Amino acid sequence: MKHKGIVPLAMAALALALSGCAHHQAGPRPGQLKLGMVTDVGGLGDKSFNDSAYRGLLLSKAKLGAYIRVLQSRSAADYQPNLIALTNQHFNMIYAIGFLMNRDLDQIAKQNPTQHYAIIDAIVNEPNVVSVTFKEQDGSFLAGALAAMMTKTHQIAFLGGQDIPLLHKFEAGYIAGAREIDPKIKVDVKWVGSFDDVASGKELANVLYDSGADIIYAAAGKANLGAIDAVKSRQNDYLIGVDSNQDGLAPGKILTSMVKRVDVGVFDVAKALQNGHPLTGHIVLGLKDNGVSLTHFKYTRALIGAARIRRLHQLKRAIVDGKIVPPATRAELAVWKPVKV
Amino acid sequence: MNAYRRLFSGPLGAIAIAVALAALAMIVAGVSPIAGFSALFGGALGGTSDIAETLVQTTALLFPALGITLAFRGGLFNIGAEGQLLIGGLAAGAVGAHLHAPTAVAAVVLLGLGAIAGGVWGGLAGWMKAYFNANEIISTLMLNFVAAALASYLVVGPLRSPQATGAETAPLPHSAWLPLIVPDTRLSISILIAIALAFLLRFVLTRTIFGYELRAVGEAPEAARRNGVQMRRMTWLTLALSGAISGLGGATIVTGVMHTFNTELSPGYGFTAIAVALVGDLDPLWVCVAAFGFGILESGGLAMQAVAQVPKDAIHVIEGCIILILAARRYVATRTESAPV
Repeated sequence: MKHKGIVPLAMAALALALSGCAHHQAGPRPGQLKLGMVTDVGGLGDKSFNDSAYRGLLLSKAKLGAYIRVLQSRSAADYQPNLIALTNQHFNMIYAIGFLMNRDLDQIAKQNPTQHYAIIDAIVNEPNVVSVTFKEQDGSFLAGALAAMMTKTHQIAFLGGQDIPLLHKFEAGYIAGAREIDPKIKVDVKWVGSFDDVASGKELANVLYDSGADIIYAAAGKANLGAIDAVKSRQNDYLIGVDSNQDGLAPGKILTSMVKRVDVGVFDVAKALQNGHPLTGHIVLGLKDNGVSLTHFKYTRALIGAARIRRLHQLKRAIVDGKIVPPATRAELAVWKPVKV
Repeated sequence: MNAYRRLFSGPLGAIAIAVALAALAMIVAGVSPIAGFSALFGGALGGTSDIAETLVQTTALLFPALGITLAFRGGLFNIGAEGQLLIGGLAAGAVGAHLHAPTAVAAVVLLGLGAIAGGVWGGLAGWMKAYFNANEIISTLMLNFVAAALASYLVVGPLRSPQATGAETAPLPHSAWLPLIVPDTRLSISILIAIALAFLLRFVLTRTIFGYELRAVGEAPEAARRNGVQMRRMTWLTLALSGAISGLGGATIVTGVMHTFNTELSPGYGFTAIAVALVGDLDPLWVCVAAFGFGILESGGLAMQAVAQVPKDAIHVIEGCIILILAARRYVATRTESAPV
């Protein structure tokens, strides 16, 4: 009867697994602000997009005393049931985190015209939905300028997740920023093809470094972890991270991270709702609103030097003032000319 | 009577143990198992729309489970249902986006295409097995990755809708959507197709020469070969048919539930379906029952997350336990049978 041993073993494993992730939470108090969020398939723990949104929710809990609930999605087929589940429980605001939810949300928002919804990274044209997108091209412009100032080979690179319009904002802004510093600079572009293929991310980063680029701007979601792994073992090459602050993942080797403050967007939407003036329509967060920004060069300040950092501040001011308008598409990039500031 | 006892000592026993373990783990994790399970069953079976959603999940699991049943009965371990499902969905999505035809025509064309595409994918592994003696466990598994990469490449590149924010095909025109059985839910006629298919499969397996030969190859290959069964033809045909059933399932998800194709189509239905087929004891009609059981877990799992705040992964733990216990039982059974008395 040796196989009986399997039962307590499985039981222990199960208990461990569940106690690890279960979190206690009392129900909402009457009158408490109720915020619900549906993650995309990346889920919590992606060190990037969903985690950033979750930080915004936690901030709302701390600062606004909100009751929060997160539903994770295993596949795109889960988006609709998850959104409906929160709708049926009458949350004050329901966040759809991720652009692939736009059609499901459009349909549900039409059926529930009195319910407030928010979607990140996509636009849903319903009166009860606030759409939050980011000027990724602004932050990427600064990343490109920094890369162009730092390169010794006059060749830099962009590593993207999927070749889709959302990522073209990163690509176009980055290339424009580099050309602002050096109009003749060579920028290599490669695509991983997904946002979660860590192995390919590493492989492609090494290919880019081997072909002469010494700085890569990696905007590939979880696949960034592969690129970060690659730069750790390179002598004179550097990386620029994305979405969350990734500087500490390879201290000194990551010049900066282009942070996309999904948390700011999530919090702003909640705060406006609590103040009785729910946001509506399309909100675009850029450098001015702290929606995108570079990190504070914690590990690389000495390497970059004060002069270059001053130049970055100058460029940032020019973008905020509207003197420089970074391109958001390839078409805009094609006709974009450096503006001397 | 004996059959019932076998069922109890096998699959049903496994489920009972898994449920008991889950209840125990919930206590350890501080969630009342009564609250957890009532959320599970209430969410899965509480109302018309809940039952409809459970049946949507049942259908998604039933197609690949039937495909796997066919292959397993023929002695072939097809663990490539996930890839076959994806390719079937891809074919339906790619063509469906541009197909403007009456619903009946569109349904036949798109489901047919899905079956053919899945059949080619399964047949590929069958051909390699039949003519090069490539182990089908390896080849079907590896073809899953090829399918995922191919689908990802196509929806990022040539098949991507210019209007879509993310990597997905253009939405299917309304005329190409499978008709709903229950209005205002996502339950389409695909469940009827799946059940009809189960009856057909049972008929083929038990009442036709082809089915007899297939089972003969599965249970006593040497005897089948000596009695004139064409082994090569049988091998590729079995895997092609198995793939076709899974591919058909993928096409029903695209035409019935998502109405577009993207790579987040499946949370691993093709893998869970292996457990469904085994719990159903590889008998098509019992597989239907097993699929319904797993459907309850899948859709109730979302509700458990939404209502009782039990993480969605808990359901995967329960499913994992069922598989583990079944596998262990089988292992123990073979060990005891072959042990010298």
